[in-house]
Amino acid sequence: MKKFFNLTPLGGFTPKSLSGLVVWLKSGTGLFQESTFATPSIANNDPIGGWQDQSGQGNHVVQTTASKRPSILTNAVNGWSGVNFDGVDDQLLSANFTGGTLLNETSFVVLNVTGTTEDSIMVSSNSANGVIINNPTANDLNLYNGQNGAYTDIITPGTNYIISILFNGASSNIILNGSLQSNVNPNSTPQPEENLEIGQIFASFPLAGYILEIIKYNRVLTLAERITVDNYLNGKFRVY
Amino acid sequence: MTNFTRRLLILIPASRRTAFNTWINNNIDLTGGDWFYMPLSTTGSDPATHYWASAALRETQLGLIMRQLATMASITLPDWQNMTRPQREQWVVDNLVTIRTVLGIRIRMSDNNGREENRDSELAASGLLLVSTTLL
Repeated sequence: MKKFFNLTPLGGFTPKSLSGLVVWLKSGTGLFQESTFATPSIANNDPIGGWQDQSGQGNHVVQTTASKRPSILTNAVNGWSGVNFDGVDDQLLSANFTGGTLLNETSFVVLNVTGTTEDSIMVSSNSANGVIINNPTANDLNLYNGQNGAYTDIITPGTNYIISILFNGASSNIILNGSLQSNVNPNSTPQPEENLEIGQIFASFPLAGYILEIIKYNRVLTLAERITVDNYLNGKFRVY
Repeated sequence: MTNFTRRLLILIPASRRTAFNTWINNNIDLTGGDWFYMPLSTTGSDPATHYWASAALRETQLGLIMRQLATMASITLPDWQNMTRPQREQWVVDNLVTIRTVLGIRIRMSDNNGREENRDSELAASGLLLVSTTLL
């Protein structure tokens, strides 16, 4: 049975309601065919060369090379659009974060991984830290923060997920569709994060699947705050 | 409906990578960078012997690439502008083996429908694996 709890008190809540918002890549908003944000991506399968950050911080993600641009997948989840990565070479990148490097941070990703034969990078930063890896062979989800955390067998390809990720070094963890996962802490020392890379890393691990929304804060949110953002996303996408 | 109605998957030998990418940058993706930077090898380890790219393309862009491949492989240039969509698809089917044999370049064309169903089958057919960095 699907649970849509705690929706009523969220009236008026947006990710901007909490302090420390540094990235808000919002479903169906700010999507353009070119990295110069010239032509809106509207039609299904239009390429996406730029996705404008709605946080107000200007941390837009772009792709200047045409072949590496993901495409828009209209009506992907509950009527909202996804950004579809081809599993070959698609990637979106931000410049270094406005306001400086992140050390402790909390991120939220709404996605559906469709790949079943290769490791996939979903969200990463600094080409070394804050990486989430899906290994569809074993359906693993992993935090990488300078070193691997324990894998958890929790991802099913073709399924929608809302993932909340907390990086603080000592007790980094994941909330997956409202459930706190254990044994995923990768490193006791927080690692610096300089930018956002979506779709692949190290010219490897290309993501096959689509991302609906990404939210990132430059601080460790409290559990109550994480649940509030989770509920905001679930009220929008009806994932669980 | 999007104007980018085609998707082209290209696997190219490392020896042709630079020249073909230069042609792409001069004719297709004028502001773009390196199309072929995803490394492949038979072992999945360095050194890369091939690279691949997957691009959503307009019909005219696809035609330019096919004419270039035909020129490089010394086969009859397709009259892309006067061909129907099915005729264009058939031309690719009829000539991809020659292109692969002469140039070592593997191509797979499909509709740009958001489903990259040909990706894994083409990789398997090539006997190549993505060169993956180990995260430790």
